[in-house]
Formats: sequence, C-alpha cells, structure tokens
Amino acid sequence: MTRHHTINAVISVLLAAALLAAACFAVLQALSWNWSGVWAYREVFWRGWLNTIWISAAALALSVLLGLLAALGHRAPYPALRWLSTGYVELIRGTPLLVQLLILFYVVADAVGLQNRYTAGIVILSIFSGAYIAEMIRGGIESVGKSQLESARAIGLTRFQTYRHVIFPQAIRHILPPLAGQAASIIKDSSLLSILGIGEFTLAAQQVNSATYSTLESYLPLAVGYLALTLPVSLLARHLERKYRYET
Amino acid sequence: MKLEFHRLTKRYGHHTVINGITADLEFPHVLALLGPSGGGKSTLLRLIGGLESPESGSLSVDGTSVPEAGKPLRLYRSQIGTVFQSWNLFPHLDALANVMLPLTAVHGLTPDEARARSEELLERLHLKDHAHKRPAELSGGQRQRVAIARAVAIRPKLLLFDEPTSALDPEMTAEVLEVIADLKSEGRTFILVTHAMNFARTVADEVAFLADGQIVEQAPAEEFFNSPQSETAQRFLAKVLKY
Repeated sequence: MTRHHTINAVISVLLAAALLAAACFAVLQALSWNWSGVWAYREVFWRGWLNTIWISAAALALSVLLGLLAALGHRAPYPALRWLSTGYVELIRGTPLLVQLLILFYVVADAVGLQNRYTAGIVILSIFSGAYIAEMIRGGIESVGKSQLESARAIGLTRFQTYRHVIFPQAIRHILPPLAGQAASIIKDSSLLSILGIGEFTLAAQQVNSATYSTLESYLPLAVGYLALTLPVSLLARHLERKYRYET
Repeated sequence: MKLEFHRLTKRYGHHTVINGITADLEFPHVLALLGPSGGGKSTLLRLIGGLESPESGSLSVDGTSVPEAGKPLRLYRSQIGTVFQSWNLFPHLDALANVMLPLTAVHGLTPDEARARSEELLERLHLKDHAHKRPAELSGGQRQRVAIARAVAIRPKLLLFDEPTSALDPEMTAEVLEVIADLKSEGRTFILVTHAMNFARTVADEVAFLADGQIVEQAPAEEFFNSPQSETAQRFLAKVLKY
C-alpha cells in the first residue's frame, strides 16, 4: 500500500466515524425534539427567508454593476482609474467580510449619514462581492484573444462598439459560470448581516431560538432554508459551466 | 494606386523591422510584397493598413497620408479591407453576421441592406449553404473565404492580404487563391503578402522585394521573376523556386 492509499484510508475511516457520531447524536436529540414551539414562529422564519432572497438579489445586481465598473476601470486608459480599481479589488479581497461590515457600517455609514440599515447592509455586501465579480469580469475580458481586438480595429469599430459587439459576447461565457457561483456565495454571506440587526434569515432563526430555547429546531431549518436557495443556484452554475465548455 | 514612403521606420523594442524606407510604389491593381521571413513584409502591410503606427517617417496612400490616431485613423481603417493569415473571424457570430457587422456598425447600412449585400457576396463565394454556421463549424478555406467576404463587403478602396493561405492545406489554398484571382479580374485593387510565388507571379502587376527592413527591389512582376536585379532577390528566388 502506498502512502497515498494509507492517507485515503485514514480519511475514510475518520469520515465514517464522524457520520456515525452525527447520526447517534441526531437520534438522541430526536427523542427530545420539540417542534411545536418553533412551529409557532414559522411566520418569522418565512419573513426572514424572503428578506434574505431580496437582499441577496439586490446585492447581486449592485455587485455586478460595481464589478463591471472596477473591471473596466482596470483597463481604462487613465492611470488614476486603474489604481483606484486595483486598490478596491485588493483591499476588499484581502480583508474578511465581517471586518468590512464592522468598519463600513459603524464608521463609514454612520459618518455619511446612511441611516437605513437594510440599504447599508446591501451596499456593504455589494462592495464585498463586487471585488470578486470584478476579477471574474476582468478574466472574461482578458480571455478574448488579441487577434479579436485586432479584427475589431481593422474593421473600424469604436472602443464602445468593440466591447459591445466583440468582447462582451465572447467574455460572457467565461463570466456566467463563476458569477452563478458568486450568487450562491452572496446568499450565504448575507447571513453575516444578522450582526447588524438586519432582519434576514439568520437573525430570524436566532430570534426564534432565544424565544423557544430549542436550538437545533431553530437552526436546522436555517441550514435547510439556505440549501434550498443555494442548491439550485449551484446546479445552474454547473450547468452553465458544462454548456459553455462544449460550445467552444 | 500609389504608395509613398518617406524614411519610414518601425521598431519592436530594440528590433528594427522597417528600417527607414523611402520609396514610391505605383501599380495599376495588384502589388505583391515578397521576401524572406522577418524581412518586414507583414509589418509594412500593417503600416499601410493603419494597424501599426511608425516610430518615425511617414507614408501616404494615393496622396493622402495615413492618419496617426483617433477618429481619422479609425475612419481610414474602416475604408480598407484586411484579410489576416488566421482569418480572425468573430467566433460567436455566424458567417453572415461576421460579414454584416462592419456594414451595420461602421458603414451605416440598415440591417436589411447589409443582409442583402452580405448574402449576395456569400453566394458568389459559394458559401450560401454555410451562411448560418459559426467559424468553428467551417473548414479553414471556408473561414478564409468568409473573411474575404467580410473585407470585400465594405467596398474598400484597398484590400490587404496578409499571408492569406499560410495556415491552409494545398487544396484549401487553391480555393482561396481562386477567389483572390477573381477579385483581380473584377478590377479590385489590393496588396498581397504571400509565400505562394507562382501565384504572386500570375496575379501581381508589381512586386516589391523586402529584406532586412528595406525595399531591396521593385519591378513589374514579370520582370522581377525573369531577371531579378539584386543579389538578395536572386538568391531568394533561386531558393524558393527550386522545388
């Protein structure tokens, strides 16, 4: 048996043991499960879940816009714009979302007088996600070959026309699959907005928990609720990946 | 058609590709740029097409100097049809849309006008059945013919062919050369960079022979092939026509 096989075997055994332990724990818990307390708060769950959906959707739209601006800024003929874009992307990607939430919400939003916590939360989440989307868009744009730009120039297209007719239609196949993945990330990351007191899904579950003292019964639906959102999105991402891989 | 070069120089880094060419070239319809690889043929063609800008010196085409930048340069390029070695079609558009794009986006034709003109051209180049195929579904020869259709559709005052058959096998080469020969009999004006010597001999009116970034020799095609004057050209022709 090679070293590689040994490691694999050890990991398998550990995984099996962990699954077994989890199953035992669940069965023991199930004996004392009490769903009726949580059921009374189903409205709270439902409202939180819907809030998570629209917050994520708004953040996705805004972050695509920010990402597009940053990606174009990165390619702009003006050095100042390029530095600004690079600085934004590196700063955001180099720090945790939680830290950005704390600084941008309690310091910056406060300073600029942004009172509505939902708006502030969506904007901060978009700033975070936009940095990642900027890199996806930049990668997509750079995947379009030099000969294509040459062709566009030879024909006499303007810069705008080159983006519209040549670059974006080709870049989109490289951008869409990771963008769908990013949409799933936004949904998951939006749970952190709970620390700002934004009434999304995770905060709703925490409220139910503190009202009922049934921890697992409060947080298990939370996990399932997120999965119900991210699973279809992830499947879409994988579908797009396959579709565009075979088309080229 | 008349080309005038005045101390034209183009460098890539420290490498001088076009080395201070001063020359007048006059030809009725077809000029062939011939010479060894790395001699500057393609670069000179790209300078003429406004796709490269010279480090110094100037060039003019039919008495008008090639603009250096901005909108005038874009307009200049749009009046020249360029065909590249590796066709450079837009992979996300089908053959018809490839031919139509410059017409609608740059030359102000309505979609209906552009479609009519493009379909007619594709039919003439025996590509009618392939009009709705994307480049990936076409053979190399078909792609190059679509590229030629795209370049011709704009009714250019000048066509440029940059080694149009270098990436093709002999059969496809023949089908593309046939199209180019037809363009000559239609009375179109073009400049051709090619390694297909026999083709250059039959189709070109005038030959400019380039080596080491200089125009070493210029002469009517028959004269050039029958009795090359310079030693470089003699050696080159002896080598390439040997087999």
